[in-house]
Amino acid sequence: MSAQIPANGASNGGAPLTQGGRLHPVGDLAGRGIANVRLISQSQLDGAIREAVSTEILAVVDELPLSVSDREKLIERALARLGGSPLPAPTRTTVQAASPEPAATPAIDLDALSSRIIEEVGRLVSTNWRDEIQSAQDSQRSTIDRLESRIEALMGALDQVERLMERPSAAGAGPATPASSGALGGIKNELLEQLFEANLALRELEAGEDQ
Amino acid sequence: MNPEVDLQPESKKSTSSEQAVKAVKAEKTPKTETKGADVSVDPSATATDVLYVGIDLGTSRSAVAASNGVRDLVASVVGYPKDNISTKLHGTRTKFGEDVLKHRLALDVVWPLADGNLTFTDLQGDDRARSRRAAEELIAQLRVMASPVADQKVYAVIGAPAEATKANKQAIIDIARDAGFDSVMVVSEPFAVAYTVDALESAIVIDIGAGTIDLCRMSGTLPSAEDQITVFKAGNFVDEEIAKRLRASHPEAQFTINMIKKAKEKFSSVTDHAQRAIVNFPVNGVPTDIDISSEVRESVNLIVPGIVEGIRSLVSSFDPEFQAMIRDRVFVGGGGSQIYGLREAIAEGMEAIGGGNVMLVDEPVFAGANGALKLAREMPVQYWEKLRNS
Repeated sequence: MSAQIPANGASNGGAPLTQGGRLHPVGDLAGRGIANVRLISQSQLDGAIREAVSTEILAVVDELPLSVSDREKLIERALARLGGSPLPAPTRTTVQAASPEPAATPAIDLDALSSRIIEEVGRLVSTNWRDEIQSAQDSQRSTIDRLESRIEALMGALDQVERLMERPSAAGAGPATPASSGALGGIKNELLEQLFEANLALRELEAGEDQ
Repeated sequence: MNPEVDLQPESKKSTSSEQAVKAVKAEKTPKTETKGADVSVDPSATATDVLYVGIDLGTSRSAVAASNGVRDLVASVVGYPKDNISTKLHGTRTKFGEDVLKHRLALDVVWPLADGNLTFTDLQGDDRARSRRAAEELIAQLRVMASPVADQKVYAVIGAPAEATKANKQAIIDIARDAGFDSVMVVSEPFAVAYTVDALESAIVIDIGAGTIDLCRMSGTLPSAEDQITVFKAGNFVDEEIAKRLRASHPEAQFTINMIKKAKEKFSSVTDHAQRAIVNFPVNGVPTDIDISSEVRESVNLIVPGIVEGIRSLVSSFDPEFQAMIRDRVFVGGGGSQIYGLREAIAEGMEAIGGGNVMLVDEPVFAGANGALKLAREMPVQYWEKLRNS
């Protein structure tokens, strides 16, 4: 399983190593002080993982709450992966003696269980990310809403200022800013007229004096 | 702001009114920093056909407020180079406001107003011409400060003292027209303040300036002579009295009336009467803290009787049914209203005539100009056009 990589690094027939790894020029590795490199292919890695899992299953199989038939199946599959034969009968007998038939114990499919666990973990991870994203979006939306309402208020104020600043379309149409309506508006209009009359009288008086 | 206006060379000198108009025409559209606000205004950005302007033409300081958002102040003083050296140092331009006070030793200084009125109307000969020219240039400068854009008509309401004579009001109109305003109205200064705060009925408005204190009774009509009283012991009088007392109590202290005026304005922010009025004046060249609280209090108290007597007179000649109401609506505005403890002193003085409620208007320094601007904007356009052509 181990091999010294040739100097040109073409140990796999020149095919690029792309899946699950990165390309490292041998010279570069040598520069880092790495003299020997063991090359492990994806299939070898899979096999090693299967062996490790099978070994662990065999180690803990007696402690699992399984029916006899399920336990036997599990042991057979593990042994098959390890390339060995089914366990000798005494072991099974011992197992049977040590663990009376748990008739009420439901059968558990470990593959299905692990798949469900993986799915569940995946779901939790994705849910967590969705929550994070949702939270960030909510925060952004809230900021945007605040900004939008502020812009709206400012635009309203700007419109109002522009209206106030605008001169009436035709001369004589009214004041630049009309006096307020109601009783106060009435008094104001009266006062404005009186002020105008007083100023007009000043002009006329002056004109009369000049003549 | 150190406003300046170009003067023509002596050989080509045109009339002062022409100068003022030229200065106005030459005005571009500067960005003006407004006072009391944290924004700068670009008047050209919202330019309309007409710029409305309110002016409080004060003895000591003039305020301008315009419909483009400009609000500005300038000391009502004009300065001309005194001699050739001064001309070399400061140029031929007319100086205004603080710039004049800063270089007053090198300038020929003219205060065109006294006791709230234009001084030239009481003068003769060269003095008259000089004073009129200064008044015209000051008003032209106020127009420039309002920042009209090119080809924009400028309509102004100008505040005059409550008891200004007809001749003085006419003089203001004439000068303002010469200074480049397209249409002008004159209004009693306390009436302008009353208009600002909508105190148009059953109220007394007191405009405390440097030269005069104007009291005005508002009863829903344009105030007549009987509704207005002018007291001539005002802010400047208080300054003189403070200085007189300070010279007596601290003969070693070195100061000018201008320093007293500035110190007095600083105390306007002192609202806690437990605080002392401390100035930092030189004593033998060494800056020294001097407590002038008692001098200020005594001096302020000297003008209170005149104000209270004015209030009493206006109240007593009013419809008895509404006398209590106008006593409870006494509005105080104007730059002098900020004098340390004055409002409280007036309220205390009113106890003797049955008590009352004395309120300080917002932005007292700009109250007159703001009111004049409000009048200008609410005045029907046809009135403006008619006055323009009359």
